Amino acid sequence: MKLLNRKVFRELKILQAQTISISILIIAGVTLLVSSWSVYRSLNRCKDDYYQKNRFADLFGSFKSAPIELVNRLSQGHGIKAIEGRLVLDGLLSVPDVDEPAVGTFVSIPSGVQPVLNRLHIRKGRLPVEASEVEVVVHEAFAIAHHLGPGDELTVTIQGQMETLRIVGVAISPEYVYALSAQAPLPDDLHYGVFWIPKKHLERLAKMSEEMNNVVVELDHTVRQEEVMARLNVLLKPYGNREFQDRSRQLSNMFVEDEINEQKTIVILDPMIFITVAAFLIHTILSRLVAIQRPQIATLKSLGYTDLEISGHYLKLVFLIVLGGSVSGVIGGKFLGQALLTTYVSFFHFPSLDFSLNSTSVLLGLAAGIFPGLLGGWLSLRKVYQLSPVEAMRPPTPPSYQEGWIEALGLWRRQSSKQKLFWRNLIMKPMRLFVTIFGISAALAIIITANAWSDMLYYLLDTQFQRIQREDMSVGFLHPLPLSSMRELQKIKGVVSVEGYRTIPVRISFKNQKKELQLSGIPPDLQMLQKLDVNLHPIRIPEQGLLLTRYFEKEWGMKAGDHISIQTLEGELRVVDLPVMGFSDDMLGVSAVMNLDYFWKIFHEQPSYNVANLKLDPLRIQQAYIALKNRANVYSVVLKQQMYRGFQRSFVGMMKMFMNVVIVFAFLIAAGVIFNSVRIGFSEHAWEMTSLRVMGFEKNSVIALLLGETLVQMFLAIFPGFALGYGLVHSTAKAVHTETFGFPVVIYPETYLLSATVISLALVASSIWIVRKVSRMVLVEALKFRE
Amino acid sequence: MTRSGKVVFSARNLTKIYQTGEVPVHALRGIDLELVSGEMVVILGPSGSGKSTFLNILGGLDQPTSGEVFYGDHNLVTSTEKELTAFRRDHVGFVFQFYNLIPTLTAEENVQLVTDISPHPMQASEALQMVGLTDRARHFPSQLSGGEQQRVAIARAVAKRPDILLCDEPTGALDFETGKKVLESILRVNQETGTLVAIITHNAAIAGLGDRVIRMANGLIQSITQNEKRKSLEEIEW
Repeated sequence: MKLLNRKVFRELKILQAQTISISILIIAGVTLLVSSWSVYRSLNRCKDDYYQKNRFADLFGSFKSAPIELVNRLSQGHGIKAIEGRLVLDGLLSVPDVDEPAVGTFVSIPSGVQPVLNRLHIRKGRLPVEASEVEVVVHEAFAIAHHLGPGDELTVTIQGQMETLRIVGVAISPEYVYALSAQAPLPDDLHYGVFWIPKKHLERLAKMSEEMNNVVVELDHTVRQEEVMARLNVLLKPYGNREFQDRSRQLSNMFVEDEINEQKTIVILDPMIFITVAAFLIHTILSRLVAIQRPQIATLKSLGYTDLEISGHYLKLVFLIVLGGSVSGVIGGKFLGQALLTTYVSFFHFPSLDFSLNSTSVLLGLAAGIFPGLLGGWLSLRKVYQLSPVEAMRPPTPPSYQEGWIEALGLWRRQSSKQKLFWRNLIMKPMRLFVTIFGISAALAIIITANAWSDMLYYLLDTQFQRIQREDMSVGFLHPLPLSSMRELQKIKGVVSVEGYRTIPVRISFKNQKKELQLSGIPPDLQMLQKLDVNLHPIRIPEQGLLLTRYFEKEWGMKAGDHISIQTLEGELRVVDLPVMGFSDDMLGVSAVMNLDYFWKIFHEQPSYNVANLKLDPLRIQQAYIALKNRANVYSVVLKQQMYRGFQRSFVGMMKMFMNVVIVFAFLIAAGVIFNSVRIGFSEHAWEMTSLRVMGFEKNSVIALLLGETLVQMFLAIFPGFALGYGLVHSTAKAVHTETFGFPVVIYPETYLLSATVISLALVASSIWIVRKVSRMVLVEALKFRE
Repeated sequence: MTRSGKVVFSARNLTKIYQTGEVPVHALRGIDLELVSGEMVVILGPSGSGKSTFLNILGGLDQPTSGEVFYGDHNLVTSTEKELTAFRRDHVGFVFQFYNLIPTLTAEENVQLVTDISPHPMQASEALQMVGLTDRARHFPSQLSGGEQQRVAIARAVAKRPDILLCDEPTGALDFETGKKVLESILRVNQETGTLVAIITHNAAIAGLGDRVIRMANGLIQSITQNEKRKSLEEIEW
């Protein structure tokens, strides 16, 4: 067996080019798999550690206001380990370095000490204490965006009262891993920040003494979570509470979990394709090797080697190739994983994001790299068993061919022998044709999948921010304003036009499903906010009933005509039963809208607005900002352009690196598959082609025969490749479809074109190789030693 | 046939040195020979004697290291690759030890492969008839025996009406009976069409079939024997 081992290494050397292209496939697959799996695991571990160490609450309740003593009553009862009452309020910030207003969420904490739950992780400075100055700790994301640190000051307007704040510390919290405003749940660190402030100060600013409007609970898990929630809901009902939410509905955690799971979905799929293609390639290459080495195999057999020993010999060859690829892939995965994780640092605010290459990732990577390849190899070794040792002594029998049914139809009779040769080479080995087409299709599909993400994100953002939300700025007011107030806004310099509408937080229930969201009453002729159908055509707001996001149709099984129950969560408590008239295709988040007149009618309201959409004069934008910032009743200001940019900065930026890596790998694979198929085609036909040259065929006609075959294979692969790409994009989009992002399946023609171009480039490279090969054909040798 | 025919090939002081690895191999060390139209030449020699190299140079598959080869008044040594391709296509028929048929083409189509590109070919069916394979025309190589495959190769080689038929160990892979059938086809081509035939073999029994027997060893011609009378197939045995 020692000699056979030497043969393994010699053959590896001969098969260099194939070894390299298979290795690339495996390295790509394993690198992606290992990196993303370890990133997934690392993120999960960091999150769990952080949540546990800093006592992230299990339940979250908010209500209008309740006396602080109520906490004692709430805590009596089974299942509660700790409970903490707080004040949580939003205020409008004035930050020295930006003109446009920003929104801050202020969370009360005890003076100078950590809260019991959702403990802060102080990055810089210290906790705030009750002093003559109003001390606050600022969330790291906002601090970084504005270069703020201990000692800096800024002003805030809370409930119409202006106050100067002194920053004494920079911190993060498990409650705000992902700093999101409830008003515009998209990352925008420049215009949204979280602050922790001693309770007394916030009470004074909010004019709420010994009161709380928010409760967080840690469970001891002796009682079912639902029971505790139900009891708390009952106790807090008189205080205008919104229903308690568990972690799965907590905004930051929801995003964190969604993001981590998305990572998992996307990353499993692409490596799987890479590895499947690699297994197919190994199968093809090894089958060919066995075919070529028939005499050798027969000789070995006649010398007394068993089938198992011979198969083992070839499997060793495969094993060395896949082992090399897998180990390199694991190493590559470690580095890529580390790099990927650092892109998350600016996105998720964890105390530390430590990358760890755990043993499962390594084992998973090695197994995914080695086993499919070995399987592909094993399947190609069946021929070894069928071979009789006597064959070594015979001249090679020509591979068996028969006229197929296509020829029986007589379609080819008029073709020249050369043309027949061409067509038969192509179709008489259907398995090989299939494998090649599959390989090229898969390569096309991978390129399409990798690029489709940016297509979909672009489409999503473009639709949301250009077609659905058409305003420049959206201003939310503390209290509903009479219709005439819009005229005042119109007078502000820089404001071009104003449209008002009404929103109210509600809880909708359908069958046994419940959800809290903003219900909007909008005038049917509203220009700056439009609801669109799947073809992006504006939907007219029905005069009665509700228009909901398509999410409810898909996930809740709702149909037009169904009735849902709506309960208001602000102002006077009202419960109404309303019909659903249709569904709109929103891109971000979920919504419920109805006709504004209908809104006023069912909620028994005087005509009023609490949100104004503004179009601004681009040259006077700053003036408009400043004027709005100083209006007492203004509660939130959302700048569309800023939101758009913030979203792109963080979210798109984070995806970008991973996607770029996938695109590079996809290119390599596409090139590898095509080049390999050209090579295999060439070596399979080299002997025939040499015979043709000997008979007097021109070089060019031989090259045309060889390239023609690849060209036809490519042509046959293009549409299956496009279809496969679309299918993959579709299933991935479906898998990552969340409430927050309704990923539409959009692939721009450019993406199809790009993938086809890459494949064509690979063909050009292969053509150059073929031309060189044919030119260097040594006619004499090829005829003597039939390889 | 006698040596009175027109000179088709003349080789002068042909040498061929292969540089394989570090040791130069002298395959031909100075060959002078003329081949005339219509004759049947058997080139005998052990392996490594240079006979295949000589044949490949005659057929335009290989170039000598020095010396000259003329096909008529056309110098093959100074020919471009394109000219050599045309020379092979129009004038030379090859028959190899391992047949070299295209497995995806039937017997007839393998022959047509040549008739498609030759200036004055015979019908593929005519060529197959000459080797006695009319009834196997629509069989693929895998459906033919070794001898039949070799006869298809002969039909393919002669279908273009070559000026010379070069056969490299045509019976090397065949048993005695099948080998004889193949030789019969070759003889028939020579007799019926008057094609110059050169057969390379290490099988001395075949020597009797030729007009001339050229014995080679170590890259040199050892002897040239003129057979007064060619033997018939029945008379030879190996």
